Amino acid sequence: MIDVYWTFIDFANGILSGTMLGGSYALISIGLALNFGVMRLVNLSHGDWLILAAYFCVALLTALPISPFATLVVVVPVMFGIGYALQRGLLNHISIQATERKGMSPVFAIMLPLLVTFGLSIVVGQGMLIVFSADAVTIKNDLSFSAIRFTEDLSISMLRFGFFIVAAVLIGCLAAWMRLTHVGRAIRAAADDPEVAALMGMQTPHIYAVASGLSLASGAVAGFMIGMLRSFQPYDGPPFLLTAFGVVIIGGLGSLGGCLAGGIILGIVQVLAGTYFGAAAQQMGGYLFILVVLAVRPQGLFARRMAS
Amino acid sequence: MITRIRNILPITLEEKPGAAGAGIGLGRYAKIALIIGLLVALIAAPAAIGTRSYALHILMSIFLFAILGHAWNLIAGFAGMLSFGQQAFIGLSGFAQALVIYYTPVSVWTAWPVSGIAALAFAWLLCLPIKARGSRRRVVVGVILAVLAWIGYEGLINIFPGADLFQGAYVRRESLLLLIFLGALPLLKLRGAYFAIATWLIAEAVSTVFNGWSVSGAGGGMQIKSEVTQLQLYYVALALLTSTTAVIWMWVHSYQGLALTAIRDDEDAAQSSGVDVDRVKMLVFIYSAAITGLASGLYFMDVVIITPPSAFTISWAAYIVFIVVAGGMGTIAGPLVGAVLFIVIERLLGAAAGQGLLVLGILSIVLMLFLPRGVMGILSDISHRCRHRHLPLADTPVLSFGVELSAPELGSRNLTEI
Repeated sequence: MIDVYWTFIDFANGILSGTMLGGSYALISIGLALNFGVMRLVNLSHGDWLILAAYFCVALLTALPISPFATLVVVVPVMFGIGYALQRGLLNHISIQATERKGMSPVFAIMLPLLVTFGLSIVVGQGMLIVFSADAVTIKNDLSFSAIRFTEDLSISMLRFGFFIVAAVLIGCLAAWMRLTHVGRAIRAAADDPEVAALMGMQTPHIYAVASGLSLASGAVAGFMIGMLRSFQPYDGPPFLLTAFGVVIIGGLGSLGGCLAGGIILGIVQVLAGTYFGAAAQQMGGYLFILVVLAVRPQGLFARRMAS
Repeated sequence: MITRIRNILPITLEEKPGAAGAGIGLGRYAKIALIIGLLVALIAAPAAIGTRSYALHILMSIFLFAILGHAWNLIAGFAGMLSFGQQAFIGLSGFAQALVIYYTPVSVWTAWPVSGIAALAFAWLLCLPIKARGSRRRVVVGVILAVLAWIGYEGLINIFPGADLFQGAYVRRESLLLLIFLGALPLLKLRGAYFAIATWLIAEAVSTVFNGWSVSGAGGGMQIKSEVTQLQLYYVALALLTSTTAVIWMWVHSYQGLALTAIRDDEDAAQSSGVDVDRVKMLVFIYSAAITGLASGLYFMDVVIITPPSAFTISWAAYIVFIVVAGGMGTIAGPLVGAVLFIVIERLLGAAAGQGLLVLGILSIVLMLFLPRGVMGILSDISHRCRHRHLPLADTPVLSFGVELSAPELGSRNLTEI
């Protein structure tokens, strides 16, 4: 009898903490989904920007005696600015339209953004290594060990639950913003057909830069979360990119709601793999699951258009 | 439709340039003489600069990185499969060689081919579902057979614990599951960013296995008891580089090479023109993996120690991308030039500030933006300017009638070079 109870508790705990983990995965991948959905760009440096945002939070906290959450007030706009500048200064020049304008071959148009953002990932990672050194750091906070208890044996981390809510709210707000505001509609139009959008008088470089800024701004929240939940190092970016890419693929390319669903599915798969095959299987289980989806349904489990 | 296409060059039949612009504006025989002269000089080099000198070591490193560049250039530059997972082959073959040297009494040079075979076998495994000619049933049957064999193996271990080569139930299950899984994954069907990310994921997954495997040092790595001299390594690396370059040159200048660039420029069109896309991709992928494995075997003989972080690091992909991009993607001489640049920059800056990778990253972004065809691109522009003085080079308007003019940056240049 007790075995049935513990089997159930194990499973329920796995589902619960997997869902919470999925919330954080969704938060990590919002930026990548925006990039993918609007600019058709796979930003291979995405993970490194998250870590950079987390380092900004840590740097602010060591300089000023403020609450960890207050750092977001500074870091989110800063990351928005970086994203805007990055898109205007670099990424707009390597988009498919730009390479077409330059008369490059379609193959090269596909390769160029991947190669450049891969180089960017190396540069940002190495830059952080020089500035912040290789020591693992974390954003110190009092919430790390508090938990919400449902029963004696069933509980979830307070912090993870909080970030799950944050991810859901952020996705909801972004989707609403895309529907209701002028700029949001412009972003959707540019995503659907950049040429027609430009013909209608839209400043597509600006629109893209706003989307990219939003992508890094949500990345700032995700980086803050990474720093709150665990310790990190300059080189930790690429695994987050792979996870985020997996979430975006599972959720359907560039769909914001799909991010949450994809994150939750990936989180549950990882935690259950960890529960039943040992802690080390968690990462491997996630990678294998992403590869399965890539192979079987590359258009995503919930393929839909962006925010529609 | 009129498209303005920069740097598109006329494809003429009377033009028969030799080894991919190795000499500027030189005739065919002059180029051959140049190549032979260079080879003789490199063969004689150890006698001139000393068999234990640092300069010789630098030359050997250039050879090894040029081979790695060649391998990647073949799949990315010629076949259009952008892989960020070459470190899977590098690490796997390095560890295979280290394991053979450590656990068997064979000499280092007998163990060396194992590095190539390991990479080749792994690449072959990744190609398996393609070989099955699109029939999913065969893949399913294969997976079922593999799982049955695995269950049989588990049973055998229950009876004779000594039969467990992995020495640990978790690592055994993890790696066998991974192998079966990768055997069923149609990797080569993926394109663009999907292929790039999938190769990267595979490298990470393989690295996870080696991180926890006690037989290979459980994350601490292994030492390679190598009694090879620098002179031996130098000549073997030179021989491997020469043969690799020759094979790729012949490949690209053959009918197969045309099929290769056709696939890169438009896979579907190539398929419908009767190119056996799957077979060509498979050949390229497996060959590229094998020479990557052999080169990394030599590399780890030289550095003596192999650890999972050093063998599976994404820096490998960064190095290789820089080498090929700097030299010129889709050219044969590109990786050679790129490897020289890479070693010069890496060693100079590594000695000066220890920040080689940062500068390499920045340089490769700048190169991609402003000189996407690399050094060989500039050289061949100059050589064409010498030959066709009457032609305006930049901004030549080209008429194209609904047909995509293929690849001024990559493709047609190679057609002129064939």
